[in-house]
Amino acid sequence: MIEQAHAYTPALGDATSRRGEFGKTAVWFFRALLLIPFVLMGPEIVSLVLGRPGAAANVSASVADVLGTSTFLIFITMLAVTPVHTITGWRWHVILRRDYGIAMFATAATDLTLAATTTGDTFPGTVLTRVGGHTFLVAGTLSTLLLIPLVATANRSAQQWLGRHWKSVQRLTYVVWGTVLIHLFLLFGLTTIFLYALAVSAPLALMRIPPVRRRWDRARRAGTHRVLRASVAIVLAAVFVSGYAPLVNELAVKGGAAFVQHPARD
Amino acid sequence: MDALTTVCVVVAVALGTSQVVKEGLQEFVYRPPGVGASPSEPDANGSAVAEQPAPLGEIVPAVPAPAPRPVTRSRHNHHGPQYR
Repeated sequence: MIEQAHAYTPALGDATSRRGEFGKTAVWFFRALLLIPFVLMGPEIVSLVLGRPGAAANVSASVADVLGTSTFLIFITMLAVTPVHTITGWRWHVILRRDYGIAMFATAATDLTLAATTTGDTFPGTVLTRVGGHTFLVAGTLSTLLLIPLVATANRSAQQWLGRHWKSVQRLTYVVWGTVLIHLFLLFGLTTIFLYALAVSAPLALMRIPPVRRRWDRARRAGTHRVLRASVAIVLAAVFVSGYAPLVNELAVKGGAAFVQHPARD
Repeated sequence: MDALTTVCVVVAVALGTSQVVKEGLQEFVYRPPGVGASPSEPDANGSAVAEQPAPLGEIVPAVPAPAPRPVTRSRHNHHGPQYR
């Protein structure tokens, strides 16, 4: 028996180490994806900094489509971390929640800064008009501002300093979720992007309902209701992908146009 | 952190309020089509296209051109060129 146990130990160790390696590689892959919005906007931003003619108009045309869509995709991916853990029990990806939160703030802040400085052709007036001249602009600006306390507390020392209050500060994420959806509704009404946003939000919201989450967690640990859990997971994933895929496509189309500095003019 | 959060909310609300006061509620609420985000790919039902409001010319009927006013000659004023 003891010999058998010894014989299995290296094999189990290998499997654990392979899983750890896979997790590490996957985490870095998902971290690398966070560079995409900056890569897509890079040429236009460089042109703007160099003062090339037409650069400000290009950035003005691209900023909402590329950085706005990217911010929302990053936000949704961040929100997907906890439900994925609930459904699968995986832990390797949990670190991405903080990384995606910080990246979301960086993307949203860049979006707001570029919008404030370059969209004078669309929103004539002062900087204040460009970030708060319409209802949808106020909702977007509020969403970005609310990310400040979230990012400021997204570290271990803030967690220790705030103690139990840390969790209530992090619940601001749900307020941001609401203001982002309001922003998209005011922009698109009950069509396209807003409907995709609802499609990606619905499964994530469902899996956060405490009784659903608790029951799923209990069933997963006990290994019961496998077929039911698999079926519900497939349905939830299908609804999520039905909203996520068009948003990625939107980013690919608009981002590609921005990268070659031929953005679609309104 | 509560203070920071409150400051962020107050800044956004003040921004919106100042714009309402400055530009008016109509301007603040109304968003012309295409402003803020370029129209995305139309979906299968063409709802993105359907959302676009009709051009102003189709909503407001054309005002008929006013008929030329008949030239009325004043019986009391004989300083017109025809009397010279």
